Amino acid sequence: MKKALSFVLAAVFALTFFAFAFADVTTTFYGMQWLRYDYQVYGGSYGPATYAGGGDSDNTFSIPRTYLRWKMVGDGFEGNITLDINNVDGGQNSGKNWSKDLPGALTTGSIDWAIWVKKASVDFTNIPFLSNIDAAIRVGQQDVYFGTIDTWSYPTIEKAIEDKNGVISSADQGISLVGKLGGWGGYEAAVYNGTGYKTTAIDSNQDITDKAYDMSVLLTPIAGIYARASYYHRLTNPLGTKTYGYNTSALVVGGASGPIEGFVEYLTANDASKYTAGSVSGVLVGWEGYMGIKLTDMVQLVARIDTYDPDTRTHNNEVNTYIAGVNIAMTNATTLQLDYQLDANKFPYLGGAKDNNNSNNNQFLAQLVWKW
Amino acid sequence: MKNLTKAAAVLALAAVLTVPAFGWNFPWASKSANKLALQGSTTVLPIAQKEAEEFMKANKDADISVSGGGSGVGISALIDSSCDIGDSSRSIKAKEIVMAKQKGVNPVGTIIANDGIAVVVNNGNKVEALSLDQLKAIYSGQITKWSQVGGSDDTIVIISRDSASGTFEVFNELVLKGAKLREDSLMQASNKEVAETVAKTPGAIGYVGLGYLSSDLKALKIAGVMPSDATVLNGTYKLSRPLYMYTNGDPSGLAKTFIDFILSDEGQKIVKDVGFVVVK
Repeated sequence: MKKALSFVLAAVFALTFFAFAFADVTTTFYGMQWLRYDYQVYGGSYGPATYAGGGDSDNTFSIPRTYLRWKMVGDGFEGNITLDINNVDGGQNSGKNWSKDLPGALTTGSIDWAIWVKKASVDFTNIPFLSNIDAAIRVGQQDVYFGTIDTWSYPTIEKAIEDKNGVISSADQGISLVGKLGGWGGYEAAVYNGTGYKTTAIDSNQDITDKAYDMSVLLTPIAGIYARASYYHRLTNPLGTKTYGYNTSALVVGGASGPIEGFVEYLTANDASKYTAGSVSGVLVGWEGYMGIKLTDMVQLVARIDTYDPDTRTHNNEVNTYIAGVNIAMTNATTLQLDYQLDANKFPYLGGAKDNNNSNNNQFLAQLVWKW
Repeated sequence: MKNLTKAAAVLALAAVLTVPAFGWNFPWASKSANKLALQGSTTVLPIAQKEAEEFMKANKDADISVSGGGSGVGISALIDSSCDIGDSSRSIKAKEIVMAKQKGVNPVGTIIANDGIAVVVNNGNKVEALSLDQLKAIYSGQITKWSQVGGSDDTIVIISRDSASGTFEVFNELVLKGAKLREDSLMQASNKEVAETVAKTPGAIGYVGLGYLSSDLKALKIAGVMPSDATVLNGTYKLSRPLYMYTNGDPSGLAKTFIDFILSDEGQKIVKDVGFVVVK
């Protein structure tokens, strides 16, 4: 709670700073909230008695996310503050992920509201030369420009594949160059702490010299086709006796025409700290395919398949996700999402059991997203 | 399972790449050929409304709806396919082009009119010309006496359009550039009210669309150039900008017929009648 409070104070301080330092500023306040109902049915070789919740099904109402956003535009700059209010079991200290945590591995804790400053950044848009090439310097806590994690607009209730599997944090503190290549695409190049937005560099003993960096390039050669390549690097165990590189890259190819949109993403990462000769490669691989078809102005059908292998040398540890759903635009500001999601997880050698253990989590999710 | 999911991913990729090649347009998602939806700039709004009105008189089957919201809203609506024509008082930004292309939309802009703003003072004022910097300094309150710009010792009375108007939007973008308007400025709801107030107030300064110039007002040279249809068209007058209608690809069907009408002599006469500058 102390950390949450300090983040809130930081946000308030930042807002005050903006208000006084830049008197001629247009400020826009807007936000988004998710109101969710989640019905889960557990299956697979892990029996209901041993699985999370102690029963064969769970159902929950929740408000998993509230985003409050302030955007400030003035002469030569654009500021952005986003508060991320997260209502989860265990609050700030929870590592719980409903879709993939193992039996007995859940972090327990009381229901809590975690408040994070997800973004607190300023774009300097009038820098000589850079402004001529449609580029800006962005300073502060900002997106991590990678794969689909920073562009994910939640066509399905589930997060982007990088976010779902904890491959990379969606925001971090640093400095970046962001720009457009005319109408042909865009790019971002950034240097970060490498700790993500939920951990401060001080808390994690991260030294400024151990910073992470990433680069993404988006190409839109013709209307309807795009491709994005991303690369991210950071060090793990930066102040330990030995440091390891964590390198991850992604390629996204997507398209849209009329009522149809979709993309395919390939994701891989190499975590040298996890490598163990003969048994663990430290290399993960993920694929994601998404497609949406708009039936009318109000109704869109969506489908998604993820396959995620957390270590290519470890057998029977894949996490496969299948989602089918419908998005209904009820008004300009409210969208109802109805998703069926199957997480088919395999677990190797868990608790001395034989290989090929699995769990099949069937989730029926209803979520109302409203914006203002 | 692993092979199955990889196969599914490859199939999904193939489908994604195939879709644009066929330019699919599902029957249930297609719109009536007689309907046209315009959305966007409040500056373009009076032109679009009057043009639609006249067009529908001559084309009884046409059903054209026009709404405002601002240029950004219009371009976003075009990108989201929630309108057929996005009205804009600025050219589309690179980031909007990229966003549009990612959604399979190819935004093509047609200039349908020009917007020129004349800076006017009372006929009794000795000042003939102002630079853009002087104009900004006057409207932001740094210059408060006409004597500071070569005129009498009178205090300058600021007349402005209300901040919701498209004319204010242009003035803010081209002159104020983010600077705050002097707090005691008199805000008027229309060009006509600005013209009337300036005409009867000795120390007043205001700005109006070129269509509102008359012998009751004195137009000032800005950056050395007198406002006129000719100087707006040849680009020498700085307080001007083109007005656009954006479509997905080159205009076609009813959108093309409507835009062709706006660009015709009859349509351009309407442009002039509502206080804007014709395209040619």
